[in-house]
Amino acid sequence: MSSQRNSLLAGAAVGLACAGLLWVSGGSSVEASGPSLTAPAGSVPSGSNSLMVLREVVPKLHTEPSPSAVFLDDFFGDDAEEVRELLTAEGVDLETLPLPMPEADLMAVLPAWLTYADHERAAQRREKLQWPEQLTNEWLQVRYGVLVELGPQELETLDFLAELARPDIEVAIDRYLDELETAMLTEYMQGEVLISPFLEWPRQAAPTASDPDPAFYTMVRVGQGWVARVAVRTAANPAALSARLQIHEQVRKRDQRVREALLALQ
Amino acid sequence: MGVTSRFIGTVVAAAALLIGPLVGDLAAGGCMGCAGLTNYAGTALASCHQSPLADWQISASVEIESGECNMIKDDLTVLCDANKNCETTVTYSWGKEMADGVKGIGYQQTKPSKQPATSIQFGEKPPWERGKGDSVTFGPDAGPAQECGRVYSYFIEANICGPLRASVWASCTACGQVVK
Repeated sequence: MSSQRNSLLAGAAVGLACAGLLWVSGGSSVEASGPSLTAPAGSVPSGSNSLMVLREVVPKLHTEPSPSAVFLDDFFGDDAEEVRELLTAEGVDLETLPLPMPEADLMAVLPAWLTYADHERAAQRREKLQWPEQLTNEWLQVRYGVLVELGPQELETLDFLAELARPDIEVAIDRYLDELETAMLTEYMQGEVLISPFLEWPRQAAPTASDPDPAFYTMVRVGQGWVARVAVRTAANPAALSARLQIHEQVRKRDQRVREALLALQ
Repeated sequence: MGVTSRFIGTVVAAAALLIGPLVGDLAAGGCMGCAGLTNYAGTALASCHQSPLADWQISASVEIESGECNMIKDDLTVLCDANKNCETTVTYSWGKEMADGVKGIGYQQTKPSKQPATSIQFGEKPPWERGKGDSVTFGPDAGPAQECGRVYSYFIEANICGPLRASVWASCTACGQVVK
């Protein structure tokens, strides 16, 4: 496919170069067998300038495919043209796009891609803790469905109660994230992490109800010209699901204590 | 649909046998028995190799679980409440070399009908800072409700010597099905 395209490009370049030769040698108007090429009088350079024009025109027409274009052809094979069209539709110019990181290098760093950065763990902890940075009556109302009008000291008491429960919840969250990392690395070792340069491939259909082994967690990492996708499936990962239930259990215990305290304060 | 339900039911029953600890969790009111919740990695576009450390540049992840299923269970039947939405937790992340290049994050309903994308607004101070990788996570209280049959795409977009995009689909497809 690539060589066919190169031949076409080369043919076009030679043809246009010949047209250029006729143009510069024949003066301001050239009659050829095809459509006529007519240059405005005085616009065509003569003598050595003619060769300069030729040098400028021919290299531009006879360009080799960029390294990224060659890489794409090699990686995607029969699918290359479809991928090329998708990239063009996204506004990606393969001729100027730098090469992706070598595949061997990606495979070496991929396990690290499948672990969480510190800021990702921190963001997950904040979310799964289900407790605000600043406790307010409004938040209590939404969370516990009670209309309360507590003063600052009472809010502080509740905050303190929640703070006591925080370590157990965070341990549960970290354990869950550890289990997810283990599950993703297992997928990696089993060759189930999908990688492709430039865009995700093969394309995946949207979820359907008939998936016999549904994933409950997926992650897409994008970088260095590559896309990596991993899915953690339900049936194969009871430990992760069990760890997630532990988070719920710890949060439930904290909420129970807070509810009791709310009743006492009301 | 009946065939699908039976198929899912069989798989769930098999899964429950394989994953012993969850049987107890089911009895305790967990919702894993209402399988069919699913999500897939969605679409992505990667433009170039930049970092000498070979770090990933942007990332999106989603986890999905059903809400409290209000389960009714006897020897043969697990019934989930169809009116309970699934819950998703979505994390959007960017590496330190991307901080200046992040264009936005958001989500879009893609089924049953495609809706305009909703960009998450951060006011005057978005969380991406020069030279600092970071993440934001949204739970069920902040994201769109995952009603049964709807499909959402969660995306992060950036630009660094070309466009980058990472998105994940999430769908709650079988909540409320009777599983035998």
